[in-house]
Amino acid sequence: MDERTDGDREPVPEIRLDGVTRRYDGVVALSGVDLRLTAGDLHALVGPNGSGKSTLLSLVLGLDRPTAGTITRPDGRIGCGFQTPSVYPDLTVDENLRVFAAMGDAGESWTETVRAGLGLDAVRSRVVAGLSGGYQRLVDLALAFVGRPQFVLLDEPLDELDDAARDRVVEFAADYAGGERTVLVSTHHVDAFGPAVDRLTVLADGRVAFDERVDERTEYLSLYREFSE
Amino acid sequence: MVAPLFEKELFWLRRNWRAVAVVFLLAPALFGVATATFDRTVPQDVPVAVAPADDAVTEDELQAVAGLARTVSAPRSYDSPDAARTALRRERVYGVLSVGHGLYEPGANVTLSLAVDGGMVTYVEPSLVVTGTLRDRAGVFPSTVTVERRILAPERTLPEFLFATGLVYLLAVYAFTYVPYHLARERRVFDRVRVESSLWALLVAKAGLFAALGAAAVASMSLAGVALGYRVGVADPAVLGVLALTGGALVAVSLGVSFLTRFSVAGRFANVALLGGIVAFSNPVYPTGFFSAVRRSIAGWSPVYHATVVVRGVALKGLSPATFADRLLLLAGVALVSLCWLAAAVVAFERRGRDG
Repeated sequence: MDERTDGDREPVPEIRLDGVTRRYDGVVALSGVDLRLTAGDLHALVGPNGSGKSTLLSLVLGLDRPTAGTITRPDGRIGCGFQTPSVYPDLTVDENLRVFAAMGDAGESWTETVRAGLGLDAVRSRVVAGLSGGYQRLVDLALAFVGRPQFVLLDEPLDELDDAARDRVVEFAADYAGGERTVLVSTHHVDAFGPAVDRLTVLADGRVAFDERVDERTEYLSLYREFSE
Repeated sequence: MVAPLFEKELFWLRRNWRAVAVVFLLAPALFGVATATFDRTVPQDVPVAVAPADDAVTEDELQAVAGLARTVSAPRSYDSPDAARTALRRERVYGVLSVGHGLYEPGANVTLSLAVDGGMVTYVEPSLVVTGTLRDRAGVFPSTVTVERRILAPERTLPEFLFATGLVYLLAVYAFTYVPYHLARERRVFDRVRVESSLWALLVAKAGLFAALGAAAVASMSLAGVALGYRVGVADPAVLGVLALTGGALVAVSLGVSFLTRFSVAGRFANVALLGGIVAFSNPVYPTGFFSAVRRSIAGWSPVYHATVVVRGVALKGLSPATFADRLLLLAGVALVSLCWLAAAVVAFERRGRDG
């Protein structure tokens, strides 16, 4: 487990990328990326299409390997929401939740909290393959949170969702982040997450163009536009 | 209006030319080539043991009878009737031609006796060709030659024979069709499983599921056999062991193909083609060499053929599994290699990353 110490304070776990590069058949998806995901943040990762956001998430999740550089992750579970919902299509919503909840140590009450918080109670007994794309997205997101992991990484979590569902997801993610729990959101929907974001990273052409804590909410959108265009 | 859509098909062809070449060029060509392995309908290349009836039989006499039998079998010389019988039980040969002494002695009465296994039902009738031919040609000897045929116990019916043989092929069908389909259907959850658990854990869970489903299928077929009054001992632990070993190996092979092809349509075609090859070249029904010598050689390379022989021997003929120790060892080796193949395919799948 990689932990940062700061004097006598308790070590704060983090995910750290140092000089991470990923090339695919000569195409550079990420180039020399240094990044810290520290505890307690709702961290937005933004950037135009092809900037390397999904690649970065795959590398952090261990689904891919960097061509160069190192990625340090703490022991324990990392929750993940995928661009294409990663769920068991032939199971019900509840069965999906039960399978992945059992891989962690979160209790039944937390599963109910996640299900209700993301608006899945009405479809809890439905087979996932028969649900709309929006609901399948919500199931995927619920699976990211159901193990109550310290780090949750979400790739385009608002795609296919209606406005009400988007609000629920943003509120749930913002409430979840804090203390020692971190949520990293890779998204195009900066306006939806804007007010809740603690830290903003802008990727452009596979490089980190901006990476700062966001203090003034009103500057958030302009920062994104400045670095992503 | 048709032209743009036709152009789309050309785009598709350009984009998928490899899969198209395999499915529509290579596969038909192989199908055409496969017909060449059906050479004849007389069982000319079926191995038959030629053994002396007693110590007085000379090598010349054995060679002479083997020469006569060669037009309707592939004779193999054995030193003793016991060794030949053992080979018959092991399905190394499908008949034992016992040669009496005195073929070249005028006035002597000599018996040529062909013994066939009553459990190898599909050779019982064709073996009449061997005795018929020997009878026709026995006049070349100065002695009086009597040709007889004996069917060794246990005699079984064709349905019983097909039932025992079908057990292995039932599992092969599941292994190359349903199992890859089942995992492909859950393909999109693999990334989450890799993060939250591992593909290895998933495969162990699937092994448990498919073992249970395979056992259910075998039990169901077995019950059908019991209802029909078949004398086939499916419940023998050795039979179940061979079925588990073979089924596991075939599943490992098919899943290895699926992982290497990232559960693509091309992978599914490859698995179906493998199944077709196995069914076509493992001699499920007829003895090896029934249609050609080439097919006899190919069958020797098929673990499904060896598994079928063992299941037939134990379940249908009531033989000891020890009779087939060499084939069992081979099946264990194949299962091990198949698992290594699957493991390598999973590692390759993981190393290629999500977009690879």
